[in-house]
Amino acid sequence: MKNRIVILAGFAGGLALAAVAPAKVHPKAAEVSKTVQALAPNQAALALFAGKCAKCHGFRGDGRGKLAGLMDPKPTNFTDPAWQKKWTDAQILDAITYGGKSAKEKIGKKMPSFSERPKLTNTQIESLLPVVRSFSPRKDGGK
Amino acid sequence: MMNRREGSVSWLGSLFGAVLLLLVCAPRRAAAVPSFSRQTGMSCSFCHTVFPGLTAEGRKFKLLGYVTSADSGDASTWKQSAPASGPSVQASGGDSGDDEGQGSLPILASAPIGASIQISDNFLARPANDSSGNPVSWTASSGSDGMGVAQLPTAVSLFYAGRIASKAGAFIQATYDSDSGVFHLDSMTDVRYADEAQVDGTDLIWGLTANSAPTMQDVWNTVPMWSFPYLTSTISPMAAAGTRLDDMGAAGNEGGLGAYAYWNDLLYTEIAGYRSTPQGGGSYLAIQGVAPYWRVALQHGWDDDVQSLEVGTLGFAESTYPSGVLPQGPTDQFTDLAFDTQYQYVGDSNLVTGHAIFIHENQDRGYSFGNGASSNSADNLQSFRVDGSYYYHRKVGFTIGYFDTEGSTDALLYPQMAFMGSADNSPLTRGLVYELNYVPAVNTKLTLQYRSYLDFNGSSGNYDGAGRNAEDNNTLMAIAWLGY
Repeated sequence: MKNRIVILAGFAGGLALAAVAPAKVHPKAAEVSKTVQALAPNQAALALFAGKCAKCHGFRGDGRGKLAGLMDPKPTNFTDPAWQKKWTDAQILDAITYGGKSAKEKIGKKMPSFSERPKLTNTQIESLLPVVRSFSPRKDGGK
Repeated sequence: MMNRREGSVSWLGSLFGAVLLLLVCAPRRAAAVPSFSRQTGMSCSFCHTVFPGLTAEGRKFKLLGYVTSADSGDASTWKQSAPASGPSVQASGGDSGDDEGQGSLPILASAPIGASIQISDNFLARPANDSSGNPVSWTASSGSDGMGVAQLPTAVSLFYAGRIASKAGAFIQATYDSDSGVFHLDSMTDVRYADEAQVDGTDLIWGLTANSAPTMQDVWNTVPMWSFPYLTSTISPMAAAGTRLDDMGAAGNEGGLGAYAYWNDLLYTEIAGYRSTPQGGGSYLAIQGVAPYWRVALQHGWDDDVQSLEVGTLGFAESTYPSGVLPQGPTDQFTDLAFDTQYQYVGDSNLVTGHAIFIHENQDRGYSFGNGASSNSADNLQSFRVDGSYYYHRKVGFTIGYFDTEGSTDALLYPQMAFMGSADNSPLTRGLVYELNYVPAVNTKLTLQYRSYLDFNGSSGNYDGAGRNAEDNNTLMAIAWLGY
């Protein structure tokens, strides 16, 4: 009887621990979360980036998406501080809107024009700006 | 009693007819496979100009083993779990595998299966009827004189096309062919293992390929297995003579293993070896031992690969046992050397491509000459093809192609015979192919193709000695291709 109580207690305790134990996370997840939380709390924009952009630019914005190996030149690395410093918000929006057809910005021809196909609204395009900025920690949040 | 020469001609005529029959019944070329699009999450136009033409990205996708996928990666990526809290960019899609630390078997959540169907209607310029007015069958089962041959379906194909494992993938096609009424494994099989490396800061893609015929594994649309026209009418008579590189894959009884490397987006090299299965005795040319194949190509892209140019060479050498002969004794030897080039302009609205290939073949007819199957102990054959295409918004376009096969005259190899023979004992066949295409959806292609012969089996007029002219074999084909 005593053994059964011990066993049951241990089982219950294990269940309790499992219930409160944090879910397994990738070692880098917390770091990414903090950066994104500070600048881009828009869940919809994050999902949009994951669905439309990450396959080339990577989920970390480092230009190492799954399809990047097929492309030349490689997709832009948003974690590059020099790139973040050089490109203005207006230039980033122009690049997303017109892609490789952009007459103003010199970017790879393979970058889609998100005002055409696949078509995003202006609001959706603008919502991606904080996500792009979030991949490199910034104090001012943009120019 | 039939003398030796008549017996040889009769036997040779049967062989001639059998080879021609194989050529006209040859499986249609594969086109694009939407399962690749599902796997990568990208539009077909990312990898294709107009299918089956490949862009620079499409060529890399194939060289990397068909494994590139937007929702997958190596094992460490698949072991990632979602962050505990807060907004973050999360990977979508899923697959089996353990969480960290236990090792995982990266298996696709769903197999990359695709399918396609072809529907066609075909018209021959002049009925192919014998002296009694009965139709001469160009194909095994149509029994038609070629005037209005509708095929519903022409062919139905199933594909395994995509990733098998993290560094291995395949393109495997099985087809139901309405002419033969048989569902068979196509001569379009390519299974690969590939990986990437860095060499002094430059990119190197390397891999192994097990495939069904030389040039199946190639990534430029100049080579015989992937060249224009990509679809051919089942009732259009082809040249009776073709180089071995052109004809490999028609019988579907050979296979090979090769190794390749693609360095710095510039230089492609490959070496492979091919064998026939089984060895000898069947109704095909069986390769003695292992036949080597080689390929070298230089490619340069500029303006972010909007434009690209390829120049290359390829070759193949084999000794064969003729049809029905057991694998022993003398053989016929064929050595093919080819040069090819491809140009692409892949703009937003306009798409222009051009291809050219020249193949020279030396034929050492050791067996055939000794057995009264060829008049010459040595012959040669040349094949030249060039084509150019223009598409507007990848929706509507046209292609014009020129083909030319010519070589040594040989009374026993190219005998006089109604419809399929040559009064001049010559393999000369040349002509033009015109094609209009409409692509209403990414997985649908409507084609109107006209093949016109300038010369057929040696001449333009009365080529067979029985009154048939080359232009009588002109063929009009309307075909719809739908893929899933």
